[in-house]
Amino acid sequence: MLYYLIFIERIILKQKTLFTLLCIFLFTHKFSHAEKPLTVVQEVKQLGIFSEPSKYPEGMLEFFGSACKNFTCRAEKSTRQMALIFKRSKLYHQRKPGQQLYALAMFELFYLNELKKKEKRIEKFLLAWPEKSKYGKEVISLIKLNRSKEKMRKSLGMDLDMSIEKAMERYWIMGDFLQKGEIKNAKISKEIKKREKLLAKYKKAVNKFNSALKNKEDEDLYNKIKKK
Amino acid sequence: MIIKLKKINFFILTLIILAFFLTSLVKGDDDLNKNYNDFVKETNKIRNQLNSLPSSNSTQVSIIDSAIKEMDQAIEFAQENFNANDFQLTEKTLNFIDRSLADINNSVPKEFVNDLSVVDMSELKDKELKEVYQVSLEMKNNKKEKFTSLVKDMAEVDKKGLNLFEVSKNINDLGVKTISIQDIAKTVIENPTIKSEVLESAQKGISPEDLAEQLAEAEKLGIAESTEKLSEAAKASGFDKDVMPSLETMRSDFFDADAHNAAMAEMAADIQSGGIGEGVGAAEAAASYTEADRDSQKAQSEADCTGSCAGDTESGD
Repeated sequence: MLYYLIFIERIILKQKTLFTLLCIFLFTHKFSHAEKPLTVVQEVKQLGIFSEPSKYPEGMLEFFGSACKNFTCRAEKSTRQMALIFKRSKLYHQRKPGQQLYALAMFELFYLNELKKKEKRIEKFLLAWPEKSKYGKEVISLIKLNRSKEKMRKSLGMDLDMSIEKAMERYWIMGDFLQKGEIKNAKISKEIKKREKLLAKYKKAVNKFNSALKNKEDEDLYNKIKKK
Repeated sequence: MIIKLKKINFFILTLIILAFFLTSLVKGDDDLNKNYNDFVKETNKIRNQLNSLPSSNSTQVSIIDSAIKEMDQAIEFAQENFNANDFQLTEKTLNFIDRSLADINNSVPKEFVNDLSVVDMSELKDKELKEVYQVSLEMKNNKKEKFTSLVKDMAEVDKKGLNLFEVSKNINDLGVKTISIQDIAKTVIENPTIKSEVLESAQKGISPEDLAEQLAEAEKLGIAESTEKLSEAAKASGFDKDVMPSLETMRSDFFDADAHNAAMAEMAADIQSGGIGEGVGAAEAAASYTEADRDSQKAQSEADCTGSCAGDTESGD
C-alpha cells in the first residue's frame, strides 16, 4: 500500500513538473513574437499634436479656391478629392501620373483633420491608460493611419519628424514633375494585356499576405488596446 | 480514494488551464490563418488561369510565362514554411517573390509610358529641382537598403532548403532583368559583413566562375572608394549629393544629363509601379472611410460612454 502511495505521489510530482515546464513553454512562446517592444503610450505620443499648417503648396491653394479658406473646409475638400483619386483605375493613373502624388499630399491633411477631431479623446485615453482603454477604437484607427502616413513618407525619403508643410510640398512638386512628362501610347497585344492583369493580381495576393505577416506585431498592439 | 479524487481533480485542472492557453494562442493567429487561406486560394486560382492561357508564338509572351512559372517553387516553399509555423522564413521568401514579380511586370510592355526625358530641367525652379533630386537620391538609397536586406534573406532561405539565387539566375537567363550576379557582387563588396554567407549560398545557384569574375570586377572598381572619390569630385564641381546641381553645373560637362534623366525615369517607373509604398493601400482604405463609418463609430462611442463622457463632442471639445 505504502509503495502504491509513493508511486502515485511520484506520478503527481512528475505531472507537476511537466505542467510547470509546459506553462513556461507556452508563456515564452506566446510572448517571443514581441521582438521590438512597442509601448502603447509611445505609439500614441507618436500620433503628434494638431497644429494648423502654416503654408500650403501653390497648386493646392489653387485647388482649394478662394472660397475655401479655413482649415476644416480645406481638409474636407482634400479628403473628398483624395478618395476620388484613389478610386480611379490603374489606366487613369498611368495617364495622369501626378495625381496619386497630389492625393498623398491631401492624405496629410486628412490625417491632420482626424487628429484634430480626436485630440481630446487621445488625451483622455492617455489619462485612463493602462487601467482602462477609453476611446481605444479611435486611438487604434489613428495609429493605423499614422502607420500608413509613415510608409508613404518613407518611400519618398521622408520621416514622421518632417513637418506637414514640407511633406505636402514634396508630394506636390513630385506630382507636378511627373505631370510634365509626355505620355506615350503604345499598342499592346491582348495576350500581353491578359498576362499583365494576372501578374498584377498575383502581386497583389502576395503583397496582401506578406503585409499581414509583417503587421502581426501591430495587430498584437491593437489587441492589447482592445482587450483593456 | 481521496488521493484518487485529488489526482482526477489535478488532471481536470491541468486540462482546463491547457485548454485556456491553447485557445488564446490559436485565437491570436486566426486572422493570419484566414489571410493564409485566402492567399493559397487566390494564388492557386491565378496559377491555374496562367496555365490555361493558350500558348503563344510570341517570344515575349513565352518569356513572361516561363518567368512566372519560376515562381511556383518559391510559392510552395513559402506555404510549407507557413504550415511549419516559420513565419520569418515565409516572409523572407515572399519578399523575394514580390521583388521578382515586380521585375517580371516591369519587363511587360506598357500601354502608357511617361517619358520624362522631354522635361526641360532648366525650366524647373531651383526649389523644385532640389526636391526632385533629393527624392531620387532617397529612393535610390531605399532601394539599396532593401536590396541588401533581400540578398541576406535569400542566403538564409538557402540554408533552409531553397536556393533563390538559382531561381533569379533562371529568370535572368530567360531575358527578364532581375537580381543579377553583378548586383549581388556589388552588394557583398559594399557590405563585407554579409559577404561570406551570401557567397556561400550564391555559389550553389550561380556559376562560381561567373561570380568570381563579377566579384573581381567589383573589387577592381573599388566601388566604395570610387563612390567616395566621385562624391569629392562632385562636390568640387558644385555637384553636392545633398542638393540639386545648380543650373551652371547642369550645363557643365560634368553633369550627365542622360544619366540623370534615366534616373528620373526609373524613379517615375518606381512610383507608378507602386514603389511609393505599401502605405498607399492603407491610404486607399482610409479614403473609403465614409461619413457613414464616422457616424457608426460615433454611435458606438456614445453607446460605450458612461457618465464620465458627459459634455464630450465629436471633436472632443
